[in-house]
Amino acid sequence: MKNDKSVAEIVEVNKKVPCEKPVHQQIDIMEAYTDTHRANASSSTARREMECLKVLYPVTFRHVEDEDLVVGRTDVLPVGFGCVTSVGGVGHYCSFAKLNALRSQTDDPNDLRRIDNIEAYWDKNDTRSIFYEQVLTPDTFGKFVDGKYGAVVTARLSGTMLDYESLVSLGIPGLRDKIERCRVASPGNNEFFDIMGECLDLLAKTIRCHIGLCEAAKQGKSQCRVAELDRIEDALSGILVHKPETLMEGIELCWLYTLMAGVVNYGRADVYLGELLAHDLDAGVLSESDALAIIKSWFKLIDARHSNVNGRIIVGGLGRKAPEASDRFVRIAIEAVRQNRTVEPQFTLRCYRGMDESIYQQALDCIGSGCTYPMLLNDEVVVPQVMSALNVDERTAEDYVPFGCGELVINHASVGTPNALINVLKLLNVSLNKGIDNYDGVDRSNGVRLKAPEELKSFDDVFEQYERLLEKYFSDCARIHWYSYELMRTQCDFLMTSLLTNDCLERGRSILKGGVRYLGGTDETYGNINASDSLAAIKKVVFDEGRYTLREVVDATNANFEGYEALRHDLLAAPKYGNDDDYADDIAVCLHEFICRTVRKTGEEVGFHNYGTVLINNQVNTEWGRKTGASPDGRLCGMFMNNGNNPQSGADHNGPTAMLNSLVKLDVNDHAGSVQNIKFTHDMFVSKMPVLRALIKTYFENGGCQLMVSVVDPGELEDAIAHPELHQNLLVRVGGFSARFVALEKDVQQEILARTLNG
Amino acid sequence: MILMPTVFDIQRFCVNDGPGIRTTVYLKGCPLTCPWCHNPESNSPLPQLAFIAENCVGCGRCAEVCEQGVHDFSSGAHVVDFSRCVTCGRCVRACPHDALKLYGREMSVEAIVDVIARDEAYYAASGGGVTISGGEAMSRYADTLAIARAVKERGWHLALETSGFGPTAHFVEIARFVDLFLLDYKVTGECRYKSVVGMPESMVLEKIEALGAAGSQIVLRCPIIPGFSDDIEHFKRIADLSRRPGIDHVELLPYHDFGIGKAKSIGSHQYLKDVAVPTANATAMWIAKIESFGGRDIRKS
Repeated sequence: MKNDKSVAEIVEVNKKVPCEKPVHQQIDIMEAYTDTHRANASSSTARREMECLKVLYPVTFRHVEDEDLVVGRTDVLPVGFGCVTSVGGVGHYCSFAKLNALRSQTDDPNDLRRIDNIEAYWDKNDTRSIFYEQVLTPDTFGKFVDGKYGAVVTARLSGTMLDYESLVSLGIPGLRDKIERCRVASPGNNEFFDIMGECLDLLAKTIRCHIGLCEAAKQGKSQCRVAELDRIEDALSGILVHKPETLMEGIELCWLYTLMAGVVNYGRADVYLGELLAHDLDAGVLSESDALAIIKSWFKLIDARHSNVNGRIIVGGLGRKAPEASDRFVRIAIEAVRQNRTVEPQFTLRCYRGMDESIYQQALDCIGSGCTYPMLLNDEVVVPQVMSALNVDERTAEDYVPFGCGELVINHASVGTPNALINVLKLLNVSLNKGIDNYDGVDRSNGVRLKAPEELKSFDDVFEQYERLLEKYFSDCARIHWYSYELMRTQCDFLMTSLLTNDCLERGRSILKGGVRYLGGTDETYGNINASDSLAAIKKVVFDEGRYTLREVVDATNANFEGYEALRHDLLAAPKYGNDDDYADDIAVCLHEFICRTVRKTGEEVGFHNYGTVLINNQVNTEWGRKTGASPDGRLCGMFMNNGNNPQSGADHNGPTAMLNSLVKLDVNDHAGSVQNIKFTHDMFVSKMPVLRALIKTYFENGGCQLMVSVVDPGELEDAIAHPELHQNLLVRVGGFSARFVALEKDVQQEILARTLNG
Repeated sequence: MILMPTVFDIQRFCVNDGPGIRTTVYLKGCPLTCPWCHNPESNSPLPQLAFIAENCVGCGRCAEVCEQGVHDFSSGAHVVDFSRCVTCGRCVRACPHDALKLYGREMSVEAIVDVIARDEAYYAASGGGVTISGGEAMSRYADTLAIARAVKERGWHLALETSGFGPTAHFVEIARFVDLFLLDYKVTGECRYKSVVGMPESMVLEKIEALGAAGSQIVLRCPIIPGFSDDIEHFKRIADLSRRPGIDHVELLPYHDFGIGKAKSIGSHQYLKDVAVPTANATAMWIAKIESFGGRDIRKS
C-alpha cells in the first residue's frame, strides 16, 4: 500500500494531553466505531457517518476542569471522524502512528489483538489511505509532507468556518425549523434532512451530558465554584430550549458544536457574540471583568485543543452588522489574549480605514507585550484581493476570513482547503538538471522534456523551461486536488460542517456534494523567494556578467558548493529579494505572477469555483528544506527555505522599510493568501511606538495586506536555545502560526533566529 | 562638473537621527581627531580598503589578483599594506569569505536622491525625512549643499548632523534648506577642544549663536566619553547651552565601542583602549546631574 506510515501525518508542534480514559476503554470506543462503520457499509455515507458520530459523542468529552468557566474539552482518539489532520484526522480516519503508540500502553494480549484488527480494517478504509492509494506516484507526487518530493498532496477539509451567526441567531429550535422549511423545498431528500435533525439531537445530547459533567464537577467544591458551575448549567439548559440570549449561552452553543464538527477555526467571534456581550453588559448580567474571565476561559479551551496551525479567531473589519457591539467584544478579547499569553487562538484583527483608533492602539500594545497577537490584516487591500482572487462581489468579499496559516475563504460559504503543496525551489533544481533532483538523484521531470544547462542559451530559456515544468506540476496538482474532493465525497458528508455551511440546507446537499456555495481550493507553494533569488543570481553571474557558465553553477549546487566556495560567494552576493532592489525584486515579481496566474488558471480549468496560490508556510519551509538540494541562491543542501513571501531569513539588510517595499511589489490579486513576518526588538516596539505605527500604516497604504509581528529582545532567542527552561513562555510567530519557541525543532528555531531583528 | 559625493553608507529606517523614520546619508571625510570616533571608516575623504581579519582563511586569492602588492602572505599571516591600495576592488571581488571590503563609493546626487525617494511615503506618515551625516558633512560643503538643495526640492524634512566645523557663512547659507541641526558639543574648553577634537570650541559656539539668531532649530548632541566628557565642568556647560536660543533639546550619546573593529579593519590606531561602555544607569545619572545644574530637556539619544 502507498500510505507510508513512517511519514509524519501532521504538523504537531504542541503535544496534546493524554486521553483521560484508560486504554481498554479507548479501544472499546474505537472498536465500536469500526464496527459501526463496517456494519453501515451498504448504508448511505450520510447515514454511516451519523451512526459513527453517535459512537463518538458525547463519550469522548472530558471532565470539567476546576478553572473552567466555559465547558467543553474532548479527547481525540486515533480512530474517529474529523476534518483535518491537526485534530484527529480527515473524514473517517485512523491516525496510524497514534494507534501504534497505544500498543506500548498495554500488555494485555487481547487489547493488542483488538488494536491489530482495528488497524487492519482502517488500512483499507482510512480516507486518506484510500486517497493515497489512488494518487501517489513513486517519484513525483508524495504523501503530505514527504519532503523528498517536489509536490505532496493530501485529502482534507481544512479551514471551513461554521455559520455561527445562524447558530446563535436561530439556536437549536430555530435550526430545526430551518431544516423543516428546507425539507419542503427539496422534496425526495428526506434522509438528508432527517440526518441534519439527528445532528441537532446529538448536539442536544452532548449539551445534556455537560450538565451532568458540571454536576459531577461540583463534588467537594466551594460555594463560589458551585455558583460558577450553576451559571454554566443554566446556560446549557437554556440553549436546549431557546436561542442563546447571553454571552455564556452563545459561547457554549458554538463551542460544543465546534468540537463535535471537528472544525478548528472559529470565525468572526465579535460578529456572532458582540450583541450578546453588549446585552449582558447593558443589562447587568455580566460586568466587564466577568466577561473577560469567561472569554479567557474559552480561549484557554481553544488553546488546550492544540490545533497547532489553526485555531483562528477573527475580529474587526468591514461588513459587520453591529460594529459598535462587536467592538466591545474586540476590546475585551484583546485583553484576554494579552493576559492568557497562549499559542491559540490565533487571534486576528481586521483593520480598516475609520476603525476605532483605541482598538488599533490596544492591538499594538498587545503585540508589544510579546504575545505575537493580534495579527493585523488590512481590509483596504484584502477585500479587493478577495473579490479578484475568489471571484466574488464586494459585499461577499467583506465577509472574508483567513484560516489556518492565512488562506482566505468566505465565511461559512466557501471551501479553500490546501490539498496540494509544491516546492518550487526543488523544481527549479529539477529543471536545471534535466529532470533530476539534485537532492537524491531521482528523476522528477514528471514527463516534461527538459534541456541540459548547455542548451539553455539565455536567461529567458532558463525561465521558460522552468515555467513549463511548473505548469505541468500545477496542472497535475489541481487535478489531484479535485480528485481529493471526489474521493472524500465517496466516503463521508461532513454532516455537522454541512449543517452550518451555506447553502447546504437550501440545496439539500452536503458540503462537497454540491452543497457549499463556492467550492474552491488552494495550492501552497514553498521556496518561492529562494527560487526567484536563484534565478536572479543566475541572471547576474551567468548571463549579465558572464563570470560562470550555467553548467558551472549547476555543478556547484550539485556538489553542495564543495570546492566551489568562490562561486557560492558570488551567488550569495547577487541581489536578493527583500532589499527593495529592483534587480532581485523584478524577478521575484515575474515568477510570483507566473505562479499565481498559472495555479489559478489550471485550478479553474479543472472545475474549482476559485483556486489560488497561498504563500503561507507554517514550518514546512524548514522541513521541506531539509530534503532540498543546494540552490543557486547560495543556499546549502538541507538548509531552511524562505517563509511565505518573506525574504530568505537574514537576506534582507536594508531595514524594514526596504523589506516591506519589496513585499508590496508582489501583487495580491491573483492569490488566496500570504503571510508577512517581521521581528522587532522590544525596545524598538515600545520606545518608538509612533514610528512603528507610521511604519505599519505606510506599509498598509502602500498595498500591504497583512503583518505578523514577533517582539523579542536581542539575544533572547539565542539564550532560549541554550537555556530553554528559562524561556518557557517565549512566543514567536513561525509561519502562519505562533508557537512557544522552545517547543520548536532545532532547525526551525535556527530559521527564526536567522530572521532580521529590527531594532 | 557633476558632483559625485563619496558616500560610505545610506541607511534606511533610521529612527535616532532626528524625528520619525529617516534615511541617513553618510558622507566620507572628516578633518577632526576625536579619539573615540564611532565611524573611523569615514575619516578619509576617499574610498578605502578594509580588512576583516577574523574572516580571512589565508587562501591568498586577494594577493593573486592585486597588482599593487597590498596583500602579503610571506610571513604566514595575511598582512595588508593599506598605503599601496588604489581601491580598484579586485581583491574584494576575489575574496570568497567577505574578509575584504571597500568603504565609500562615489554617487551622483541624483542617485542618492533616488535611494532616499524609495521611503518617501514613510517620511510623510512618521514626520521623518532625511539626515545628512558623516564624517563631517560640512567639510564636504559643496556636496552637502547640493544634496541639501535636492532634498529640499523634493519637500522632505532635512536634518544635518555636524560638529559645527567650517565657516559660519556656510551654515547660514545651508540653513535655508535644513529643518534641524544635530549639532555636536563634545568637550569643554577652547584648548581642550582643540587638542582632543581638533577644532576650536569657539567654532561650535559661533554656530549655536548664528543658527539661533537665524531661527534654526538645533538639537545639541553630546557624546559622553568616560575620561573626556563625563566631568562636572562639561555637564555645567551642557546645562548652560541647553538654555540658549534655538536649542530644542539636548541628547546624550553614551560611548560605545562599535568603532574599534572598524578602526582596526582599515589599519587605523585611532580608537580608545580600556574604556568601558557606560551602563544605562550611568546615562540616567548624567542626565540627572546636568538637570541639577539647570539643564533643560536633556534626553538619551
